[in-house]
Amino acid sequence: MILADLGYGAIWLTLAAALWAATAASMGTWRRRPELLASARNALLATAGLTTLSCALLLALLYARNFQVQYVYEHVSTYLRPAYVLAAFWAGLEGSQLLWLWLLAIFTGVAVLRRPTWDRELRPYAMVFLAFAQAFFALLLVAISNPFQLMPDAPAEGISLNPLLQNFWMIVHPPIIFASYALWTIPAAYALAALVRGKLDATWLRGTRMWSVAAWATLGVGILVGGWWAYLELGWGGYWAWDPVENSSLIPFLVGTAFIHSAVVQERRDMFRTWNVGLATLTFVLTVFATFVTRSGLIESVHAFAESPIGYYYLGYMLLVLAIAVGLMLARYRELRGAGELGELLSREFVFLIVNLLFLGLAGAVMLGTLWPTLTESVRGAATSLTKESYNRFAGPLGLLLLALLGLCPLVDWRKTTSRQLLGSLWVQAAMALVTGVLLALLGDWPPAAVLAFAIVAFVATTILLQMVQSVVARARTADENPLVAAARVLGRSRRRYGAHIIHLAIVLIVMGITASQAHQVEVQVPLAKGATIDVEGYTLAYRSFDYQSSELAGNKLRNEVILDVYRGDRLVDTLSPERNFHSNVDGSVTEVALRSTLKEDLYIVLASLEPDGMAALQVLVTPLVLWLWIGGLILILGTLLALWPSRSGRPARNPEGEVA
Amino acid sequence: MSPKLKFLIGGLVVVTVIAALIASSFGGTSSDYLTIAQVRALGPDQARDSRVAGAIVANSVVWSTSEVRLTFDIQDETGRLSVSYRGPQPDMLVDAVEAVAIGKYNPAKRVFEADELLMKCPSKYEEKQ
Repeated sequence: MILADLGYGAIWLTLAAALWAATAASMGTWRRRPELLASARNALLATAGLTTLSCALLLALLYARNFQVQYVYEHVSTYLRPAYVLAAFWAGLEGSQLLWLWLLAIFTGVAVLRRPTWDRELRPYAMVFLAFAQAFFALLLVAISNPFQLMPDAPAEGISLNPLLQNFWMIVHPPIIFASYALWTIPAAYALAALVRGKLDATWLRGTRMWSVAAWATLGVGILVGGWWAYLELGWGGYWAWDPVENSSLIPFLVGTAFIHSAVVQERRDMFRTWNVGLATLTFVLTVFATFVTRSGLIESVHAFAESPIGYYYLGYMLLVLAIAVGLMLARYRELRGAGELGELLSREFVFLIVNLLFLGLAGAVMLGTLWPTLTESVRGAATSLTKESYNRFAGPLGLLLLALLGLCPLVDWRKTTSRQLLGSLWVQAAMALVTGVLLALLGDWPPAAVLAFAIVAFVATTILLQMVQSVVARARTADENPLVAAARVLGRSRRRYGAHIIHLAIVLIVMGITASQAHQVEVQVPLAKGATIDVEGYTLAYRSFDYQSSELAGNKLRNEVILDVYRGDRLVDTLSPERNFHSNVDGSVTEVALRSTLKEDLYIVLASLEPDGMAALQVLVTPLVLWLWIGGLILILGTLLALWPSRSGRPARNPEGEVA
Repeated sequence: MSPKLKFLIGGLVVVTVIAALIASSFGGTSSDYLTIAQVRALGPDQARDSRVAGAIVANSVVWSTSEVRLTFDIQDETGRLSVSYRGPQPDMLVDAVEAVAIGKYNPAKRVFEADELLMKCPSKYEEKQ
């Protein structure tokens, strides 16, 4: 098997090149030998090429359905649709790690190809850490999880991809998540470089700002896409279940969010130096942890450690990075003290400190919850698991506190604000919050916690919109411009600031969607004969026809389907057809949800069962405002693009006033 | 009071509040992993959220379309237990797959009433709701 050998060989060469890059970069700086630094850079460009080759070969083997390769045998089949063969690439541990390594090698390549400017001093050290990260994944691939592993003989047919993963969103979700993980590696490498060099001013933060904002947004979008997949494919009407795999991507997102906010404080006030190097490194370590949790299944039980040594590799690497970071932080104790002086407690600095603590607390609690069964099992011998409600009980209040601070923060000045100033500036948004709360409490049947959440949403949205409007009005007045022209100018001039405003508005919309859908879901489970109708929350569902076990050979499945006409009053608004199918490669049936999404609410129908005579059992869910989660996700992307859009000088947009909340 | 001390005290207050909030939610509504024998030993006054796992007993799965209810038996080395679940059956439910039922035991009916079912799939990747 020449192709498999070639692919495996390319990973070995990647390992060798990465180790050489780390050695050459360290020696080059230590001995001041530029030719060694150039060699390290070339080695890192070589790993980008080698991993690309390796990925191309694995993809070719998957498409050729070469079942002698174990990974191919386990994840594809002759009847799997070509689009899903791509999803099979990252459906398993081996392929995922190869994807991680490839993305990391590509981003590293981009970083080292750029002409050194601000990072002339830091780049050699950053190269060492980037090369080590690549070496770690290459080592895992060659030593214990080789995607090119051959079997003694080639079976005629493969196991194929789990039908739950045969979904468009599963083609895009894992690469987005892994791209964000690989992107987070770069700020972390520069944080460690800044520590080694002792150059701990905001240079490394400003220089890696584009990477960290891109990593943050990519991770946020990746998590939302994962939720959208769960919502469409898993058939229980929710998008988030607090299960270990979801939690593991949320944890680095929370810590990373703390980091990009904390960075603002250092850029503006030269404070939080220790926080920032710590948070950047921790975010990276947590992305490694997430990969480990998602693809190994080891979180399920401590006993899995005995089955495969892979857990020890991951654990060892994470501890090593953390130990290096902590050791360097202790050694650089003096340089970590910034010039900025603390102001009063009622100051923006203190608000940012609370924000850091809240994000870390939330991340720590989710981490503890994820590990809770494992911890209780090893301490008490009997495992206990957290329910969704217990997660919601801390995540709800902490999340709302963070949201409230998002509305409050722009009203608090750096260094010092008097309570009189603060109260004077917040009455408009406070009034909006009050009106929203009172109206919802009187008119809707929302629980008190949801009313409070909506009031905070109104408060924050008003603060952000006021901020945006005020600067447009100010510009229109001083420059004597038409308000539209002024808006475009202001948007173009301070992209980073307006990008942040737009991202914050997106977060507000997402919180609104989460609150409504968590607080007020109506669920009906009902048997229904052909020709009968049922009423749910103002919808009338009329059972028109069905399709019992019609075979669909191309997809290798038996289709069960009912067709329902959806009426609002007498008006036909939609026709929905939930399915429950049998696939040849899995035992049991797989549901395909039917969905009618509107801005107001989602009508979500699951076919629970279908008898030969057409008797069906349906689960019908009506959930308000779910669509706003996905709309928020799109706005978040737009805001990020605006913030990252390079200005004419080719540098990322800087904000002259620096007033990023 | 120096600003540093103020920040330290303020920070500590915030940390305490966060920690208390988290601790209270961890203590409250967690569900214990129990064996089938432990579940069956629960008395009428001991109804609480628990999780019980076992292999689905062959030919025990009964689906009622009219009730939209799934019943089946699970088995581990300590015994056998009837599980009742109202709602669509989870994807890929089959005999001998390991199921995790989350809910409460009803000693009068000798049935475990599950609010949630998780299937433990054979493949390591297929962790799902």
